Amino acid sequence: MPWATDFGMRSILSSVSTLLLLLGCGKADPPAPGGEAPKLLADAGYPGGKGFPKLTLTYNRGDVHHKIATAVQEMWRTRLGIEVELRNMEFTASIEQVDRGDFEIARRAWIGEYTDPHAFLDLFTRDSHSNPTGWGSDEYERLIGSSQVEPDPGRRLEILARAERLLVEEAPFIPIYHYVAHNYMKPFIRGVHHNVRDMHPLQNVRLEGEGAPGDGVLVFNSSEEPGTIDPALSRTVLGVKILMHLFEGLLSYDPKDASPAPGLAERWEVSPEGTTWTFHLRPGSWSSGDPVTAHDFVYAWRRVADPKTGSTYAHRMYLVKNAREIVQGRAKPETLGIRALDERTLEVELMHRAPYFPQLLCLSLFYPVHRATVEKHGAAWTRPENIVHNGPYRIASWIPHDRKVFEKNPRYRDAAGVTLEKFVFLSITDDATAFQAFESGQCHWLFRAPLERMEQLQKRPGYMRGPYNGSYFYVFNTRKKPLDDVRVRKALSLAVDRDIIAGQILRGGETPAARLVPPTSLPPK
Amino acid sequence: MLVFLARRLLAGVLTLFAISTLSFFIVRFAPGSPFSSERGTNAEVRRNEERLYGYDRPLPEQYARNILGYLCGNLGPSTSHRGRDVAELILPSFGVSVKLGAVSFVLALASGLLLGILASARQNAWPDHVASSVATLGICLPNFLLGPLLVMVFFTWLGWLEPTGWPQGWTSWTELKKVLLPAVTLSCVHMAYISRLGRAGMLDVLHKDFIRTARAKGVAEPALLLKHALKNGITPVLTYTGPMAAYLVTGSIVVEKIFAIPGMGTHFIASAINRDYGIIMGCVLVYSTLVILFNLAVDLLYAVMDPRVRVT
Repeated sequence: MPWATDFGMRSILSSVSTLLLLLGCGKADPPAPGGEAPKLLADAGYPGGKGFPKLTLTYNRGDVHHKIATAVQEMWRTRLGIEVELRNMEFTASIEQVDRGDFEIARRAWIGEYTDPHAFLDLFTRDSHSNPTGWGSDEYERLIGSSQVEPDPGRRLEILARAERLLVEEAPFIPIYHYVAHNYMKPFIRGVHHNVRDMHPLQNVRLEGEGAPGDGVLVFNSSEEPGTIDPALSRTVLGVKILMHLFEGLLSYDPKDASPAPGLAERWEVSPEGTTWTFHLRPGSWSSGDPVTAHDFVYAWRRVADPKTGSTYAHRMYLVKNAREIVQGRAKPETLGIRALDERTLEVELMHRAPYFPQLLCLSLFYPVHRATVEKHGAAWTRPENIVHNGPYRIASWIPHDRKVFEKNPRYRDAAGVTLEKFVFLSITDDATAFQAFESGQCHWLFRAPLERMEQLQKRPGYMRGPYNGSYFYVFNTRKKPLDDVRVRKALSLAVDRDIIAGQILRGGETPAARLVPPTSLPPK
Repeated sequence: MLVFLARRLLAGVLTLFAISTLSFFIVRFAPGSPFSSERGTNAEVRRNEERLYGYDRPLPEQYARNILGYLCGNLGPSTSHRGRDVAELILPSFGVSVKLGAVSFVLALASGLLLGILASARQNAWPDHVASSVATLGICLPNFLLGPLLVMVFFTWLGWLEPTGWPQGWTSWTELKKVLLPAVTLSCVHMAYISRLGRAGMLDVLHKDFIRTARAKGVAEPALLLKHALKNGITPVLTYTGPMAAYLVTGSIVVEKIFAIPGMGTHFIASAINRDYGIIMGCVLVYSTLVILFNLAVDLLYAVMDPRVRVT
């Protein structure tokens, strides 16, 4: 396979450059001999790394992952005297390997669906299916549990902070860096604002000034194929980015800062226990002309939980009463904690307090769907010729792996407020190809750039970046020796120089991480 | 003739059966699943998804259902484009790959023959050397290098052509010219082979007695080349066009990626990454059917071109 050679060459080049980088840095900033990390390792019975078994570091193919892994390998070699083997794997194979527990140290990342410490801390609970470490702690469970009943917001955050300190102290993971969202735009794109969710409702985007396309059509590259536009089945960040233009949920992202703003629900109340939420809907219309009612939400949410739907993201609904039992097939979908009090009033029952619930409601999983259409067409209801939706745009054409054209939906409840008439997105997966499309003006906006072009592109007007609600880290398999020893885990973590990784490998404004929760999910200081 | 055809078609069906069996099991034993997610897998969610697609059934049963489906012309559902069938996804993309392949076929054949004839007409003179250098270059340059090189020259430096994309229609020149760079990239190596095969075939014929006779009778050089020598000289080229046609349609995977063309290769790569079993199998079946059919077509063409070959 010719492209394999291409990747091979690139990774060789990047390892060489990383090595050179490390040699250079080594001179300027020598590791302190006898520092805390070597001492911890010695306490654990491996002085100077002697007798330490050769561990493997698993990650998936990708320039950045490979560079970071090479750097970490070198840091552990020079600072602790230990060797790790790098296992660079194909994406899906690496996921399966880690899920199976067949790893020692592995790369992970997490993008929070909401800005709250809970979005991240939830990962390391015993109940989490995203915790391959085998680590668990009664105290941690107790703290997370009590944060879910604590009515005072300040005290709740304190409890979560305690939980995180415990997590960092036990070190089942190595924090590396917190993400940055990059947007490479042509300077004529106006009205797009950076936000920590990197969500960009396009309704009020303007194309003005030099080079603006005469037809007024915005073209961006999504970098991946969204696959499905069924709100119950979509499972990616891209899915939300696309679907929020087709549908409108109870809340939706504010075009300015993507904070949760009233969508179809114009106001809502929460009961004193924080578990019963009542939403009051404003009038809305389906693209078929039918009114959007509270019953549409009830139908849509039950459909998500129904095992027959096979929703990939159904577990995100477990916050709603009985959702878990329904997904597991132990209860009927009708028992889900949602009911329509009348056409325009919706009552939702949650399992516990969740101040972040309004943020979740912006996700596509919680959108309403048009019952008659879904029942009539079955799985084919999302095809452009069948779909009925209630958002600001409609699909004019949809070619898999190619162009998708969206036009203003004249039946949208606030159609007058939609000023961008039409947009197109491409699904070019190859960054170098997407870059060429950007250069030629075929595309106006990239979310990703080829590593070797990043510096050049980041100097251009129209480039926008800022903190993004996600963390990049390594996890330990604490079931395996010697990683079951917290001293070993801490030594390995302490020996990683995050400043070098953020400042010299990534060089895109990423924050070196000392913890799991990114600054974007912490209360402002 | 009919017996030959029937026998070959039967052999073709058996080959397809063997290929689908083999790929079914290879694909299923690849690590990972269509439902793997970087965000972890919730056991009950995974179970519901697998049940939906029948992936919770024993493997032999799934295999039998699969083959039965194929016999009824049903390629099954896609897991990465939920709500769509494999056939409706790959058929339009197959059309794209065929169009790209057809343009490349014409390009390769025309330019390759031209080079080959020129080289044979002026053996060991400069046209021959130029043709042989071009051919060597064409064979040596891999697609993933040639594509970006052409983009650099014709887009970055000269600004004549678009670097990516596929024509939205086939009527305007602005749209039409998008096909040029990918087609040239794809055809280059075949152009090179054809020019070498054409040269060798022509030289072989040009040294035959009947050519000497014709030349002695005073037949002009162009007529000699094109009328007398060409028909016999291009038999080796003809042999090559069958596999070439199959290769041009099935081998555009890299080119489609470089130029962001929504062809079948793009689906094939994406399905392998997503473990979309349905699309992987669909692509493999379409590709193998093509190769089998093209080979059959070439064998039949031989019989038409060369009376000495008889199909039995």
